[in-house]
Amino acid sequence: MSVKSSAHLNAPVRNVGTMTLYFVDDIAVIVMDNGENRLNDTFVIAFNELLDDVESNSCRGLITTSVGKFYCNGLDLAWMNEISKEQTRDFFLKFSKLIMRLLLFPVPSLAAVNGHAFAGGALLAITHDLQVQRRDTGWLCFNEVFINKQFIKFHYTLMRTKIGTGHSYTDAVILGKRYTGPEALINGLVHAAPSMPLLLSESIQLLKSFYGKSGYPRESLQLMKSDVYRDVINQYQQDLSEGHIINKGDIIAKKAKL
Amino acid sequence: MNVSDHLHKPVKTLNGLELHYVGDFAVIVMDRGENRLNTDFLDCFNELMDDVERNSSCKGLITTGKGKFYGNGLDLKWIAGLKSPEMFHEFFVKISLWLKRILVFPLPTLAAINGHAYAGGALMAFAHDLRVQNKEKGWLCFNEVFISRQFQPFHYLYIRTKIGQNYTEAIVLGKRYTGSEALSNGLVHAAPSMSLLLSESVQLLKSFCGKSGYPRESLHLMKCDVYRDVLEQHQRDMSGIGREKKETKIVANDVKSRL
Repeated sequence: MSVKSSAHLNAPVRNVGTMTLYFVDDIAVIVMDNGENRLNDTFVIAFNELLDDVESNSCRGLITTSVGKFYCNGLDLAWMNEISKEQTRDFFLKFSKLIMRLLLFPVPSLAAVNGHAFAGGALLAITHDLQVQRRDTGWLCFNEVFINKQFIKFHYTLMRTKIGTGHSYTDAVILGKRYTGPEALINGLVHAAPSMPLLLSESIQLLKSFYGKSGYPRESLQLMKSDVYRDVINQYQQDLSEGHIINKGDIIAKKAKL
Repeated sequence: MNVSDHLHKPVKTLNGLELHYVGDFAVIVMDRGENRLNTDFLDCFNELMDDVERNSSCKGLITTGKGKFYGNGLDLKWIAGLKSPEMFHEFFVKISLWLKRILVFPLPTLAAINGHAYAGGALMAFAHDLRVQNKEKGWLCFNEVFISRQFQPFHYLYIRTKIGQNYTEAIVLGKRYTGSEALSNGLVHAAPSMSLLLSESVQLLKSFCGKSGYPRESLHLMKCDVYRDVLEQHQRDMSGIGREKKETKIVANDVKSRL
């Protein structure tokens, strides 16, 4: 049984599978409602479609969240067991592109982490401009080190920029530290850690506090993100051209088949 | 009060370096006065690290000192006595390899800073994954700037990753930090009283390891990935290290001024 966040969402504007797009004032809210919200082709397609809708709307911000126990529990490894090597490679290319799209999104983005965000789910959360995490339950954790997985090079560049240098980055990525909302707040990984009933409303408040009355000029925001994340973009392009992304797909696929 | 008061007899002792076990954690206790870095120190330390690596049930490594010092840097007197430029170069290669070894060690590492950690001693502490510092006594300080020394390029890179925004204060300005100051500046993870130094270090390490610890290969690879720029620079640094005339002159002058 899923517990919906109690911020009063208006009638949904669009459903794509188990993902729903709402608007609250001038903020788009994407709600994932598929259990662990594992990352696979269906996820990427639906997410991209809703991002298209958000972009073509004159809204001023984006919040992503889910309902229940999970924000996102990472890659859909079971699904990867079933598909071909080519399909896996294709997925990794598409997912990496989605991460970059979200990183450079032309409106400010906020991950309202309602529950567990592990591995790829933590990466998804950290890619947003802002993070708010529920206080009383759920962990944010880059647990790859514990499950013998590594990241793609551009991920490290991304995480280092977002989590910052200093011991938070190394604690989180090398030692796979898992953070409750309050711990994530103290360690600078999230901006706020409200109770669950207040998760969405505080996220909305926080986002609004950044863009004020008029919002960000979209092109300006996008260019600023491109400048600030220049090294991430460069590394991503290098990873693409040197085949590191599909190589990672092969590694995961091989492992997933054990 | 010494950390090793709470430890059982060491499993092995090599010239003042002791290896103990506390549950699944290895503890290397340095009991060589200022714990200055010279070839003998490094050879003994490396041997103890070999023992730790070979122990497959070990889940983490803590290093600490006894008394007033964690580590006070290079053994300058001993260096001044080195007979040839080759020996000089060899020694600096050895330190660099040792720092790199700690940096990417296949177990989580914690420096329990019992006392002063200056210059090379601070570099050593920062090569560890975690740091806990005695809040009652001792300073953590990269004082190289005050003694006209510079770092190897790869040092800057790993310090920068580890320290973050206070990199300027710590390195350019050689700020010295008490345990409490180091904690509030994000340089260490905890600053307990001396009597709790070891137990809090063990607790902290446990809190990261969880029940099963880290898969060693995975942890090693993750460190290599995160510190990729450091390792690449380290490779480049190795060819020139200790060969610069400037380096030899500075060390010699420094020794003269201290003697």
